[in-house]
Amino acid sequence: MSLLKVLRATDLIRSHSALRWCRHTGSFPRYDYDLVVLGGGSAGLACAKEAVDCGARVLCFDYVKPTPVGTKWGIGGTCVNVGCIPKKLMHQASLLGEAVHEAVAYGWNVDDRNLRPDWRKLVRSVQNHIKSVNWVTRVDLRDKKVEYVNSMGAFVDSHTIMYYPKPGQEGDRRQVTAKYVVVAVGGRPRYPDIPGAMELGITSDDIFSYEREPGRTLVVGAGYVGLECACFLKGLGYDPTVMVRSIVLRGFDRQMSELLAAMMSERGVSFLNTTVPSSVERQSDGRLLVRYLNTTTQTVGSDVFDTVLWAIGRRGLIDDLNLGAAGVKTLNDKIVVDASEATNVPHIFAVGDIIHGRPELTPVAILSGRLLARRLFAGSTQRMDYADVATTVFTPLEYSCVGMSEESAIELHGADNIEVFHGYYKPTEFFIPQKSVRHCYLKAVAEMAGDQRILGLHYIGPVAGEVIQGFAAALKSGLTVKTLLNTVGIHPTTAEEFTRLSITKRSGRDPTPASCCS
Amino acid sequence: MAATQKKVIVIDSKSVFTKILEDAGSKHVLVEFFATWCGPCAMIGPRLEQLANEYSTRLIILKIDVDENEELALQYDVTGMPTFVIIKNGVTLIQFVGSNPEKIVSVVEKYVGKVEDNKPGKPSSATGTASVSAPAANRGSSN
Repeated sequence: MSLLKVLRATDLIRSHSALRWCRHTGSFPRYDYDLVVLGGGSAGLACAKEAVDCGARVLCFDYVKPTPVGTKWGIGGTCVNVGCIPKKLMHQASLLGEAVHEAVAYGWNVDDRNLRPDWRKLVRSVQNHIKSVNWVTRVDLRDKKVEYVNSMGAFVDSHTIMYYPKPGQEGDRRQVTAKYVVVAVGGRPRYPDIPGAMELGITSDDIFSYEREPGRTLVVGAGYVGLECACFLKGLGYDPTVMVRSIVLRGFDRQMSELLAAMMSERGVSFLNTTVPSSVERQSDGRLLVRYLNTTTQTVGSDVFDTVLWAIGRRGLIDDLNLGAAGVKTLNDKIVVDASEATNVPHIFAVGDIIHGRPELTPVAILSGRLLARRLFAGSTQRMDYADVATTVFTPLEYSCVGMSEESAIELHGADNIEVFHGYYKPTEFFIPQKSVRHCYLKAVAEMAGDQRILGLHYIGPVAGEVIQGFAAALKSGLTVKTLLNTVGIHPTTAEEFTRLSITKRSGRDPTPASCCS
Repeated sequence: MAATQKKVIVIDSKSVFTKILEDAGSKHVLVEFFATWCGPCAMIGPRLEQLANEYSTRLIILKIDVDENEELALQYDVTGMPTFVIIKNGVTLIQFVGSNPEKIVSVVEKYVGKVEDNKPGKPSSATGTASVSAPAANRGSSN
């Protein structure tokens, strides 16, 4: 390795031929790059940078097609630009609005009566931060010697990628060849196939840079994107309604999901349950008339909103890749990979949101991208462990979990072999401002036998992600109920409630606490 | 107060930049690499305008948006904003990052001279007179 670096540093042999010479003495360079990464998001960048660290010559493509209303963004992918980062900032903005009211109860001389958000200032601040992250990302790529092209790459054959350096100028077409290709193009929000959807509705791609105040908003979709957007809009003082096709938070623990929805209802978020949209049209006053159908009662309804936000799911961006030319198999709109992220074509891999059947989360994308690079260029054999990935829904009372849902555990092990410890709790800080504790709840799903290995942990409450993160490592290490209950809690916190779990669902006892400190 | 016409020149292309450096002769050129989304850059803006007025005959001040002028930002290896560069006769004399007004003023004074130093032979303009009395007020104001 050090010989490589010396050669590269002295510039004696500038091209990738240096690598070839060191690794396979006598063979000739066949490809322009060791690795071409399609997509400059969480997965693609992590993979590209790690590969360069392992000595590979890497080229990374990133391109953002504007949304129907024209929104675009820079390098960094969904998380940085239109996902985790702006979402968390807007979540924080809404929490701070809540905190101002609470401050009054704690004795602060704040006039909280006419608290109004400056939406444009919030958007500007959020966008300024995003742009600074775009910048740091670009500098980082340059420093790490990852070549970067702001164009859409597509397959010509399994080792060749073509692109237009200046998108729009079709006359200037370029090609590069690669030993390995990693597809990390991620996904984008879906639009429903109804009149007015694309012309009049927006998505999470648009909301974080939206120049107009959202006003009365219809959020269609009850996955975490829809719920989180509805909640920060509510916290900022707007009037959101969530349209739910069937259930909230599909794929998450049922009980916790229903509790979260109840928390949102208590806070004044309206729900249109078992309802699907039929059409959107613009009224003469500029507002949007949405017609919908309640599939349970089979009745039609309509209502008027200022903004309609589609959060009905995301689709993988396989369409522009010309995967057929490379022979890569897809399923629905995602790429199928094996346990080492390899597609059916041995030298083509996929990571991140584009792969089928894996959690669509930034940390998953980053770690799997890095491990893949190490397997390709540093002789590592370590594969990504997709099990027990912790996640958080950033609603005002947040929901975080790691491991199995209660119903998955029951399905896998049988109800008789599962013990669920649970309890409601009251955060100390909530008493003074009289914040509702009705939905502050947590549970541990464990095996019945022996030391009772913990299969899943679920928590609704403040800073849920911070609470669960450490427990995720514990769960991965084989945490048992015995160890958990012998762990001394930190007091007063909400996380310590996990160490105080004593009531099982099986016992039927009331899980509402009388008081703390006992 | 400050002159109504903005004296800090905004660069929008490499060719404009090169031309200004050529035309500057042996005059000092202060370049600020900034970004529209950079808070400290916005804060230091008025102070730079003030400097441009105070040193109007001896210093040219330029602003370069790093997002619009990536090649120039790369050429000067700009990683953080604001980055200040003092150039004379096409040569970089000093380059530093940060929007500390005191530091910027002291660097300018070190290379260009103090505000109240007027070269012999130069006509004492209205700006020149103002700059002599201004320092007391300027020293007092701290950003």
